[in-house]
Amino acid sequence: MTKLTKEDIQFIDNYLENSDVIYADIRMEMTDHVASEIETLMEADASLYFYDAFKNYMIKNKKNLLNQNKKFVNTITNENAKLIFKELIAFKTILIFIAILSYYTLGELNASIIKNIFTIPLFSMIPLVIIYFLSSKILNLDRFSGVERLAFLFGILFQIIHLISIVVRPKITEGIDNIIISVAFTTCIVLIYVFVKVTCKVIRGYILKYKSVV
Amino acid sequence: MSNSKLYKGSLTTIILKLLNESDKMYGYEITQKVKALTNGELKITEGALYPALHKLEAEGLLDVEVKKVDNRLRKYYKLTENGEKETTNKLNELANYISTMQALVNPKLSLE
Repeated sequence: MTKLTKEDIQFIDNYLENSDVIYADIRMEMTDHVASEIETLMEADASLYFYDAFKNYMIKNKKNLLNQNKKFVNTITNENAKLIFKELIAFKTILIFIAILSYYTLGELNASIIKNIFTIPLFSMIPLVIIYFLSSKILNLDRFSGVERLAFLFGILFQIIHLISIVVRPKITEGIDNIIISVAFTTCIVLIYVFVKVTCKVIRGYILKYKSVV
Repeated sequence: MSNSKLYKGSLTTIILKLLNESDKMYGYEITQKVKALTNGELKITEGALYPALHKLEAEGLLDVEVKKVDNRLRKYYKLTENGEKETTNKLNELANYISTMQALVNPKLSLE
């Protein structure tokens, strides 16, 4: 059976990367598919060179491959969003929300907490940035679709928390309405908790799947 | 998938059935197996196969294992426990569909 060399495989991988297939997990599978098909073609026709087989294959299938790339990225983003939604409506999350809300509603909201509410959008990103950095650099998961697409959802989280801050800010200067501030504050904390949990879950999933190669 | 739109709705069932019959398979292997079993009548394109595989993986019906084979990384798919149950359901659904269509298209044959 004809087998492609390491250089041939690298050539396919580079070509796909230059064609905007940027995520390592998607490109890995595509490279294997293209290489397998080229090996079959070369096996059937011994006079066929790698470059000619590759060129013929790409002329016929490039559009299809890139379309597949787009679909995969959408699937991953939807899957991450579903995980976040599932976690948001989980019984444990609701319990945490009630516990934190009770603590701040029943207890006194002191001035420093109210002041800190403005810094939540900024601070909310810190645990996520730390986890993201650890996963991409130390665990070598950079450019993996599921991990990288989380950054898109982090952006949405930042906007949501920022919006909450903007809405709540006038309430503080108008006169403190304990329940509104408590709900806003608790919502921010629970959102951060859910995102941190889902991020860890996604990263753990990748480590398990790709443990032999990362 | 080429040939006909009729096959499109059955792609998931085809994938699950093939994976049910072997320990694990990779994408290209699935396309070749389908081609061989149908004598080239049915050709699954990568544009149809991989999105379907990724969807099944996201739904928890397939598990993934990555191995280094022939100078490259290869992603193998295998059924999870839920995937095995879903295969049975899908195959039953397909059998019912075929029998209903048989009754409609060829009533005499279906009565025999």
